[in-house]
Amino acid sequence: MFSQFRTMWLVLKHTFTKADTVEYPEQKPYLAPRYRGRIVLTRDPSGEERCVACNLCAVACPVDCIALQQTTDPDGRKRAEFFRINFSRCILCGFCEEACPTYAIQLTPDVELAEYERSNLVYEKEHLLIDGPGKYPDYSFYQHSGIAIKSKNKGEAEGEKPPVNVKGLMP
Amino acid sequence: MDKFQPNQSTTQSEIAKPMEVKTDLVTVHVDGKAVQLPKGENLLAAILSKKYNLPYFCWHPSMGSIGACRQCAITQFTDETQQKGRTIMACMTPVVDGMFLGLEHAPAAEFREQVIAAMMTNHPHDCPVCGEGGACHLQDMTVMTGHSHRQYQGLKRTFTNQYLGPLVNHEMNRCITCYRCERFYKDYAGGKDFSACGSKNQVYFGRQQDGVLESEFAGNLVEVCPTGVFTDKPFAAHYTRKWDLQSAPSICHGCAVGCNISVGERYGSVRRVINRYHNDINGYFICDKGRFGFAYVNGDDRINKISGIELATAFKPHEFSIAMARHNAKTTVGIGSARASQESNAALKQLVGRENFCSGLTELQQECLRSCQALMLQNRQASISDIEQSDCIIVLDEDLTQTSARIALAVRQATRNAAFDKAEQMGIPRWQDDAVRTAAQDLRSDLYLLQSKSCKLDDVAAFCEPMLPEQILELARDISDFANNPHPLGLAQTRTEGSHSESQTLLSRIVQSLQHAKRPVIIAGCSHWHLALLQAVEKLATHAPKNWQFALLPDAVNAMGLVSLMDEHTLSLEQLQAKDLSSSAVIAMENSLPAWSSEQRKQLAEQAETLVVIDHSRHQLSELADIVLPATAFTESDGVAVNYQGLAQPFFAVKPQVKPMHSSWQWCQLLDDVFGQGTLIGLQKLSQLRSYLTDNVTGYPDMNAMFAQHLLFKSARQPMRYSGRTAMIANQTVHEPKNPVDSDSPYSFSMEGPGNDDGYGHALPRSFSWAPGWNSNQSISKYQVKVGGVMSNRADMIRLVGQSEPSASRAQTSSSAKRNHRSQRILGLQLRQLEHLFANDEFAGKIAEFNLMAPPPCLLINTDDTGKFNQGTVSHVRVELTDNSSFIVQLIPCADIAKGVAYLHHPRANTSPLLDLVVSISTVSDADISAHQQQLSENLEQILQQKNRNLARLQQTDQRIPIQIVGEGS
Repeated sequence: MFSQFRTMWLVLKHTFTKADTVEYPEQKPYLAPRYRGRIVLTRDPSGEERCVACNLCAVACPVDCIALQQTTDPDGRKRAEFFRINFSRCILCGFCEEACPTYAIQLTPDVELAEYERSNLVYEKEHLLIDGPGKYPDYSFYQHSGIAIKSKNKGEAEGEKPPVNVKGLMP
Repeated sequence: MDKFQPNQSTTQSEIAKPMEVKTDLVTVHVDGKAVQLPKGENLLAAILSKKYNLPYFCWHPSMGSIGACRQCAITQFTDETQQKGRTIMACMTPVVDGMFLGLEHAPAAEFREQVIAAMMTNHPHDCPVCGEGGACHLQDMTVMTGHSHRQYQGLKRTFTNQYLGPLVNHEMNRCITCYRCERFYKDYAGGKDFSACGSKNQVYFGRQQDGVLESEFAGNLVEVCPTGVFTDKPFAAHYTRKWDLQSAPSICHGCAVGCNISVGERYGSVRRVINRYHNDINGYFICDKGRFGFAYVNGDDRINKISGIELATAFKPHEFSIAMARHNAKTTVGIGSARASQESNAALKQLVGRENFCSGLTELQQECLRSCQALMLQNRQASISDIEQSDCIIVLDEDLTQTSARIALAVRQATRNAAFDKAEQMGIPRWQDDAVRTAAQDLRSDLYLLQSKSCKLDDVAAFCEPMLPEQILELARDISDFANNPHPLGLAQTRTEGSHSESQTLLSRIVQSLQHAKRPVIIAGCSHWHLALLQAVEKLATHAPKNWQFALLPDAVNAMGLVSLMDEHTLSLEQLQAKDLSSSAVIAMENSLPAWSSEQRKQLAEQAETLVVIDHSRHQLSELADIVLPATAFTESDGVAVNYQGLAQPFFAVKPQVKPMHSSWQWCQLLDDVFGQGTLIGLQKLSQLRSYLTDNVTGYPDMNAMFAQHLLFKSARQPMRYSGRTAMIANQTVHEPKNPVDSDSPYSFSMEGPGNDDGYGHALPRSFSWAPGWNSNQSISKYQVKVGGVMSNRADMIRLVGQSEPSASRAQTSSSAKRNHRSQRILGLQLRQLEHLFANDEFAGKIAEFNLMAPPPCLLINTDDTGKFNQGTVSHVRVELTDNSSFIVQLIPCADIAKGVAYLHHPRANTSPLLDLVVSISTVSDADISAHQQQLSENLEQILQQKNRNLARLQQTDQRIPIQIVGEGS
């Protein structure tokens, strides 16, 4: 008997407490900047694509939902000829971001990935690529890499000596 | 008369036994555990053979030790207490009885880590953009030593790169100075244009200046380099990681040597070929034709549609039969091919019957190949490892480097045997590479190059003076006489009567060498179709001592298989031409009839009631054909190719067929109810066809015995980390179809399957090489009984053996062939074809990189013969042909060509019997020369454009992967 009254008391008490429900989508929850949502491809500070199509994100992906193909531009930069993420398979685990050696692939706090058609969840590079550098504003891979591109010759990257003169006589 | 008796014993399977190496095993304690290691072997090889992980860079199983990289440091303890010891380099230390070694001993492990740390001070941050990443020995070794952070804060040393040609990329920053490239290129492969320069921290590996690497083995630098200094350039242009490659074991289709290769595919296009280790054949190295010569399978010229008959869009076998029935003819003649698989040729022969089977070869070619076959059947053909162990080699009129390049590499190694013998006498172990070379200096085993033109082996030859083909033949016959009557005095007596000419001294030199040699090898080939020479060698083989070995090299991948299917009814091309074909259907299978001129091909197309061409690439005959059926190339079909030794080696499809393409044997099967006798009906599966052929066709080895047990429990074609499976076709459909089922082979088109290291006793070729912690191709040592030895789990080798008809009884049939021997003489010069590795078959011309590297059209003559061409003042000549066409070639005088011989090179030689067609050589005007040069530079431009177009097309097809609907066609 007591337990029934206690139950009713507890239930009725909730009438006067603040509702936990969030009026989504009018009201949006706070998601931290490093929340793992929709994946984007970022650009380096000079506005070029950061992705060098190294395939590390694809191999790290536990559901194998990233497919891409590398190509080399005339200026020496490597780039993805196509870059496809099948978000209908993606589990937003963030392994791709961890694997990315160029900070190109980043997860954003946008979690609103709902479509009526599954095929609309297949994102190509044009859908993934954003205009900015994302969470890492300063990093430019080619300034650290040893390969030459049009705007950066051998020995001009950070922490590099000028190229050795192989015909020189000095040891 | 049949070469093979129609019973099982004709094609018997022989389990090739691993060579018994008699070495004393001694007990050595490794990390406290007693292991048996071969005495005197270097510790690194011995430890790796026991499947321990020990990092190394400079050592290579084929190239020995030099101790340059200091990576394989281990501790050698003074006694069994294992407290005190010293750090030694495993690769430079021989195994001694009772050693106590510490692999995991902290000082040694730390030393190894610090060696890597030192290399990493200058190694660039390139892995994401490096073609080696994911298959990099340096990555593997870095992880193995545990080095993870670069503590050095200084600047990185950099280098500028060189242009090394269209095949190999150079990225010198990545170099770790292990010297493997130089040791392979210069010391092993005999290249002259590549070396180390500089000293200390500035050592640079490259050419004296930018330019195309001259060696035919330059592509091996890609595999030899433990990091990404040398990478595969065509692969880099359309790159994918090793873990994403769907791979299958295959056989190189470039020549008759049958090198084992592993082919990699991604998104529906074939990406690269790498060496697949085989201890008896290719070992660790293949030639550049093998590595880069597959590109035609991705080419523009592929036939991918049925033409000539109307069919609905989806291919249905019964609709095809109905459509073909309209073209039925009274008889059907089938033309086989030396580049088609043994299954396809055998199926075609079954389809048309033995009376109507044409070999697709001229009588001359047939007879030449029969000579090769005779030696093959007697099991006298030396394997590459036999050649490498030979101490006296005679090459008769064959430019091996340009025709069967892998053999040339083996011949080069054989010349070092004298050096190894001398080192052995001095107590230097064979793996002490530098010490052996220093001890031996220029000491070499005898190599006699009896040739009309200098070749790339000249630098290691004891004799290489150019001579006339007739002189070579005469010498071959004299050697044969000697073998028949090996008494040295007897020979000397008969010879002294004649004039003591140069050739006599040469003969006595050769004879002496042969007498002293323990394992002489005599090599000749079919590049000039010099029948008399091949028959002389065959005759020589019949009475040569048992320790003499031979290598008669046919021209095409399955030439030996085709010959074994030939019988007395088999038609030659001459007989086909003489035949009345007005009420016949002619099926030309994977044969563009390059032995015929275009006129003859047109004549065939006109005569035949219906001409059906089954092929994978377009050519003149396919343009002339009434019906063209698209065949799969070797990368999409399973089959067997018989190499020059008679080894029936299987190759496997790396990607599923895309309908309506079918393997040639499948077309034969499909055509059977219209054109055939119905013998092939119901043999839709390869295994069914194989059982049928084994039972019914002489000259077909029992391949099912090899695979039947593996068909249920398949190996994977895809590595465990194969990525993108749920995204690569998502642009076409989000529904994920089942992987294509491969019921014909012991490999699946998926990651599933026990892999190759399953422990289930799978004796299968490995589709790719990988071992835990070993991502590069060097992981192969984990699957060898001992490093550089036989595979621990390899498939049985099946060899065609049987009774050959002695050459004498073939004499009648060959008389007409003799008449046909090509001895075209122009201006008193004997005209011969110039062989070039990148321009010696019809497919080489379809590969842009090869076109860039092939020589320009030219005529090579001796400097003394220049007088025949307008007092030696002309630079170009016009070659006129019987069909009134002509072309201009550059006239190149060389000192090292026999006087009276001229070598002609022109791309047309690959599609027609050019030498037979030449009528005259005339002078050309200056205007014509400049027009010719203009044309050449335009051609060059076109090749580059075609290369770019091809790449663009492949990039498009990457996104249109053919989706297989389950159950279709199987």
